[in-house]
Amino acid sequence: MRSMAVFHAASFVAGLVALTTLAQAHGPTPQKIDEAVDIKADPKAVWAIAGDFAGVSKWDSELKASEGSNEKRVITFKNGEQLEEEIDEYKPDGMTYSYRMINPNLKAAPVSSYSATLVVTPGAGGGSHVEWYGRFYRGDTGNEPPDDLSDEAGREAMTRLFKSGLDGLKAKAEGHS
Amino acid sequence: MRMGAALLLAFVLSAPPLNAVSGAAAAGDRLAVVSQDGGSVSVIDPHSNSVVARAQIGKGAAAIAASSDGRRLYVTYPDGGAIDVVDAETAVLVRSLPFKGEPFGIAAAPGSLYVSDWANDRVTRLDAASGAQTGAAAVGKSPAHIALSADGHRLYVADRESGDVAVIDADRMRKIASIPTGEAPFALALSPDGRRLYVANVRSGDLAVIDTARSELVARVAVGAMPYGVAATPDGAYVLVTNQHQGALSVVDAKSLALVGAIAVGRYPEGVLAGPSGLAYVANWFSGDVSVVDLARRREIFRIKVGEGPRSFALLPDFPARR
Repeated sequence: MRSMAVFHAASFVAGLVALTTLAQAHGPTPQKIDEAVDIKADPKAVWAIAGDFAGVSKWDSELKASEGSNEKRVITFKNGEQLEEEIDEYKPDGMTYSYRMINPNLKAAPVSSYSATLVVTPGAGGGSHVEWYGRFYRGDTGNEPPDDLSDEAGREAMTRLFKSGLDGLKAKAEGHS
Repeated sequence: MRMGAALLLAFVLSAPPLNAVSGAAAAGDRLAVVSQDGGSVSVIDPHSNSVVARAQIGKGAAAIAASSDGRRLYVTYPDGGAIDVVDAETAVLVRSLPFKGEPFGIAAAPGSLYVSDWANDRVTRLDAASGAQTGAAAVGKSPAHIALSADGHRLYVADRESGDVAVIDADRMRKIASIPTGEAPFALALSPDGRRLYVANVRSGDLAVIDTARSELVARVAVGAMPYGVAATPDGAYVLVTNQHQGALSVVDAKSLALVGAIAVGRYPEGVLAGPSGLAYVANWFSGDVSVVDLARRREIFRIKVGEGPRSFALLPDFPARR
């Protein structure tokens, strides 16, 4: 029994050594974005703003323009670079939509693909809770990505986009802007 | 290092044997789920809907297969170029097999492993004990999940970026057919009788149905956006497909090929396993848990917390030593 355990421990150590090198490789693993905000406004009022899929630049300060419909939109970032996004599911009854990027533009965002969902739900005291979450792959899915196309760079950019959007949505719905 | 070994030894000695945890009455099949971000494998007992063993391995683990005797689990690391071998009973990492390339999809046969190499567009056969390569076949671009026929002679590979399934003669390791399926085939599953192959096309949002005897596409069924996992029920009556965007499990009637239901599960569901007794298990990548779904009642009945980023399942068949 003891010799068995020693054997396991020895191979476990060998495995760990191998895995330590793996952990540094930061491979092409899907990454999570998960942002949320509470808004002191009726969910219907919040959805009236957020549900306009093509109007996102009116409340997300990371974007300087957006156009399209509730099926497809083109968003323009502050640096003038654009991305096209397409709706997979638009459900006004559930006050939610899901969409995904069509083609990557690494100058707009350092990600090779993403999909996301925005959902408005009733919050405390007649207010709203808005979640904006998604899944992305970093800009360079090879095993040795440069820093500006790494998982961290992708997470930073996507988080900034979602956070500024939710902050802007809150400000607009609460009448601060 | 000596200190580390001592600590690990203590860890191993303190790990309870699996049968002591589950008890004699709970003998039966189990399932294992691999969590990519959490870097763990969780073994679930379907009788108690609980995790009975967890192996903490490395971050980045993607796909999993079980040996046919249910004693070993094999886990791929696409970014690390390795396949981990885990003892299914003690949840201890037994060894790590080096792999040249990006191993992703995996299937186990007695004595052999089949592994897709995402970066090098091929599928390889390895000796399950040593990891030595015993064969390789060129397939399409970015091969993802793979499925092995019950007789072990045919291997099906979802070539994600070339939009087809490669049919491999597993004995000779040669491609014998290539069947276009749709946009971005990623996951696939055989019917229990082996006559149908079901392939989930991520970008075209549909399920391709292939007649395996004729190597022909017979239908494409729209199932909803971003289907990432597929399984056939043990009785062959239904095909289950996870839809990442709806957070749902689609149910397709295998005979009529009609979409007959969509069951709400967690966020970004990926792998699905159709278990015995009318239950299905769904790995919710975003939610970090597993949904237990009652197929007859068409609803989720339970959630089991597992490591962060669960992606795929393996069924661990019952074996006498566990009882």
